[in-house]
This record gives sequence, C-alpha cells and structure tokens, in this order.
Amino acid sequence: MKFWTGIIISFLIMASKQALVAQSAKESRAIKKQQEKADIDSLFIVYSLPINVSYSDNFTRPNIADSLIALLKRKKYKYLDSSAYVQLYKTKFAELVPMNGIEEMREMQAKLKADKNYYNNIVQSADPFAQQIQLSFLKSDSSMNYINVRRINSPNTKKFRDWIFTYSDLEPSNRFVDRILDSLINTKGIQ
Amino acid sequence: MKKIVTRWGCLLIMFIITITTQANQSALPIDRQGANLLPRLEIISLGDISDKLAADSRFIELIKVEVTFQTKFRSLSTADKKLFQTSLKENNISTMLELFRKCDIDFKNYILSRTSLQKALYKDYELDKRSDEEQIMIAAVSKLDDPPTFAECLAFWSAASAFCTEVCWGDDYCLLACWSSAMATYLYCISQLP
Repeated sequence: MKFWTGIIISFLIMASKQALVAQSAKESRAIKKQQEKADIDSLFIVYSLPINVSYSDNFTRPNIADSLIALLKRKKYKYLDSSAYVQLYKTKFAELVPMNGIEEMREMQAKLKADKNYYNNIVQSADPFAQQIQLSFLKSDSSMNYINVRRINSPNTKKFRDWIFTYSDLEPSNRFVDRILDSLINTKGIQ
Repeated sequence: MKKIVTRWGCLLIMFIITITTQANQSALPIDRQGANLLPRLEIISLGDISDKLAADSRFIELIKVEVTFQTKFRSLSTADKKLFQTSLKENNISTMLELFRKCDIDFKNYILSRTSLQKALYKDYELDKRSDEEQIMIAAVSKLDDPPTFAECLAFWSAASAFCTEVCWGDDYCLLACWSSAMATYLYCISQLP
C-alpha cells in the first residue's frame, strides 16, 4: 500500500513540475514575442524579418555597405539582395493594393476618389514584412565623415528612424560597421 | 423473438434502401431527368445558366450588336433625339429610318441579327420556358467584360502615379513595386480598348 502511495505521489509531483515548465516556457515565449514587437515598432533590427541594405548616390564608400551586409550575414540575419527584395515588395504590395485587371483598376480609382488616403492608410498600417537599412553621406569635416543610417520597416515608408555616425578615414570599415550594427540592435530589453 | 427482430430488421433495411434510391434519383443531373419536366428546369440555378450564357459567343455577339446600336443612337443630337421620340409616338416610320441613317444605323440589319441571335439563344437555353429569363439575361450581361475607355486608362495612370509617389515617398523599392504594378495595369487597360 505504502509503495503504491509513493508511486502515485511521485507521479503527481512529476506532472505538476512538467506543467510548471510548460507554463514558464509559454510565458518566456510571450515575453520574447512582446520584446520583438517592441523592437520592430522602435525600428531596431530583429531576426524574424528579412533585411536589405541600400545606399544613396552620394554614398562614396560602398565598402562600408558591403561590410555591413557581410556582418549581417555572419550574424545569421536573413539578408535579401536588391532583386529578391524587389520581388518580395511586388508580391506584398500587390496584396495590399490590388490593381490587377480592369475591375480592380476601377475599384482602386473609386476608393481613391472616395478617400484619397484609403490605400495610404492600408500601407502604413500593414504588418511589416522586411527591414531596410539606408546609408547616405552627410558631410566631411576636416578628417571626419558623417553618414546617416536610416531604418525603415517595409511597407511603411512614412515611419523611419535615423542614426548619425562619424568615422575617420583611418577607421577600418569592419570596425565601423560593428558600431553601426550595435546601435541598430536593442540590447536593453523592452523600451 | 428472433423472428420479430429479423422481420423488423429487414423492413428497416428496405426502408433505408428506398430512401437512398429516391435521394439519388433527385440528385441526378437535370438532363437525365427529362427536359420536358418544365417546373423542374428552374431548379438549375440562375447562376449556372447565366455563366454558360455569358460564355456563349452568340450571346456576346448579341450584346455587341446592341451596344453598337445604342452607341450610334446616342451620337444623335438632342434635337434629333426629341424628333425621334415624336416620330415614335406618331408612328412616323420614314422619319425614324431617316434618323437611323443619320447616325449610321442599318436598322434592317440590326433587327435581323438581333432577332436571329436572340431566338437561337432562347431556344437552346429554353429561356422561353422559364419564368426568370429576364434575371438570367441580366445576370449574364453583368458577367460580360465591360471594355474600358482610353480616358479611363489615362485617369487610372494619373491616379496611380500620384498615389505611388505619395505612398512610397523615400523608398525606391516601394516606388519600383508600385509603378511596375500600375504600369502593367495601364498597359493591360490599353490592350483591352475596343
């Protein structure tokens, strides 16, 4: 009798421990998800969305962009080159703003006529499907260069966040892109 | 006891078989039930017939004949249209024919082609035997493509390019995606012009 009571009690203890572990795993997943959403909203980069790096015409140091791309790939971010990014954009854009064929064309015109911000609102409130890092040159001051790093989550182009970095011509590009990436990642938890 | 159970069991099985057979019979396609069962014809949904009708080249031709007639007739001046109404009331055939000629309508040809197409369609789809033939015709017409006009294509291009510039401000990828979709639709629109 004692033996069976012992078995049943230990079984119950094991079951309750497992339930606790499952509960804590669920909670940590929820916290992680919440953290990720906060990071996306704050325009920090996250692992869950693909990334593309582009630079403006005045950006004369493409090696910085190349180093940043290499670093992102090394850190296992999902990197998309320009053509893959365009394809993804076309697909997602077509879902948000359907204009394929005469009927959809007419529907689009009618909706724009009724409310010129109709599709604007749809695009701006859509769930982000990718992350963009745009590099542009700002100015050169004695031996210091100033560049702007803009973060956008596609397709909402209206919401962006800028970081300004300085670097000297002597600083190796690998070290400089480390600094950039450190700033683009949220290391302080939910803000 | 065993006998009673067996008898009731057999009766139950026969009952189920009868019910199943009847259900299968009523589920047969309409052409297998005999086309002369007129009230049953209306069981075929309005959508099914109008779909077939809309895809029939004779129906498309009939609509084309009608649209051509109406387009030409609408080109008459307001005074001529009023004159046509008066001559219609007064049964003044010669004035009516004169007005048709004025807007390039061959009335005899129009009536002949319209009547023969309509007659053939009514016969083949047994529309004259139905009470909802008007709804079928309306549904079929609504399923036909309404060709765009050049002004409509142009208006779309103008609206779409303004929209792309506005919504994709600052993002070349977005602009590319938006403009390529808009351009494809604009070119498709032009290709559909009558």
